[in-house]
Amino acid sequence: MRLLRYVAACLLCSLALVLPYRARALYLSFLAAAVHAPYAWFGRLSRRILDSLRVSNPYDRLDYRD
Amino acid sequence: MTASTTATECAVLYSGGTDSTCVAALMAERHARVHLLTFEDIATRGSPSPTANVERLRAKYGDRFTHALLPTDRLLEKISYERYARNLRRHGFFMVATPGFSSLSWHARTIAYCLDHGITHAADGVTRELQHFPGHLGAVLELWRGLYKDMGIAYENPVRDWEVPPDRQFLDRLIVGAHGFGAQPETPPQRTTGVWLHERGLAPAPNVKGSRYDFAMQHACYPFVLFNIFVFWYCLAYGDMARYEERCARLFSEKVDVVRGWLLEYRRLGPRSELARWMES
Repeated sequence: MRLLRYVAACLLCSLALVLPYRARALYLSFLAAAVHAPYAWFGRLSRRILDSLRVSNPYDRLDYRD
Repeated sequence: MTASTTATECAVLYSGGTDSTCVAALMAERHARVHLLTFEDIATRGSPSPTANVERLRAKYGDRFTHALLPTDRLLEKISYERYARNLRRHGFFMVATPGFSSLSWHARTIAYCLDHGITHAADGVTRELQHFPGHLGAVLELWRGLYKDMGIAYENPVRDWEVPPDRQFLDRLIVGAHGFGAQPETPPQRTTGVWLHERGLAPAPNVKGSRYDFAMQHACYPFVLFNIFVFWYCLAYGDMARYEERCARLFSEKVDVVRGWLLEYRRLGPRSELARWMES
């Protein structure tokens, strides 16, 4: 697993090193979005299920709206 | 103005998050005017401007805050790519340390702002969180401090040793894995920036980090997923933290030397300097 991660890191970093400024920024933003996407989708799905079941979302306490 | 407030001005590197808002409030208790500097580049341009927390500070301390949104794209590009082939040979994959380059661009821009406005004091909200970030490493912070000092500015990290909230993002845990820094405390910390703000009516709860409220208030920092992968999957896979810190310090020592040259020229030539051109929006 460690070796696999090491090789993956080398590949992902190598690509970043050969990109110019704007392309690198877009690449980093894309990676961040791709890594976060499954969790964001899961969050949306959870909200939808909780809404349909009329169960209050326990995480709404973190929303602190003014 | 309270009795303890001095007549000096101060610049604060300000994202609008809990830590920098706490530092802004602390500085407002010591300085007559506080300049809140928020930085944006191509990767963060779409994120919120922290105006809501600036208004909260004004409501609490009066109109002693100046808020400026400063573009750093060209400066960050120059810092990232100056002598690129040579740096790539010397530092290898460390050249993906974009959060550190981004941090250095903020400090360079802050120093230029301080020189323009005759400000001799600067502060930021660096804590003990995310300790693998170049700009959070002790050795690199000392490099920043030396750079400020050379330009006649005192730079401080007033909440550096405050406690940090125990929760950590799930994604951090996924990438950080077994390299997590320290075990979670059994009792919640008492002296965090969030608790301090909450006690003064500047935050709705003692810990808002990671909430929707927090995301809506705070300007984003440079995307760091790749950098986390680099540190935890590459550097620490077969190396240790001490070696990582040493290599980071070596890279940023060279970068600070380059930026010092640019700032000295800026101080001498002002708008005719190269740095002045790179700071244009």
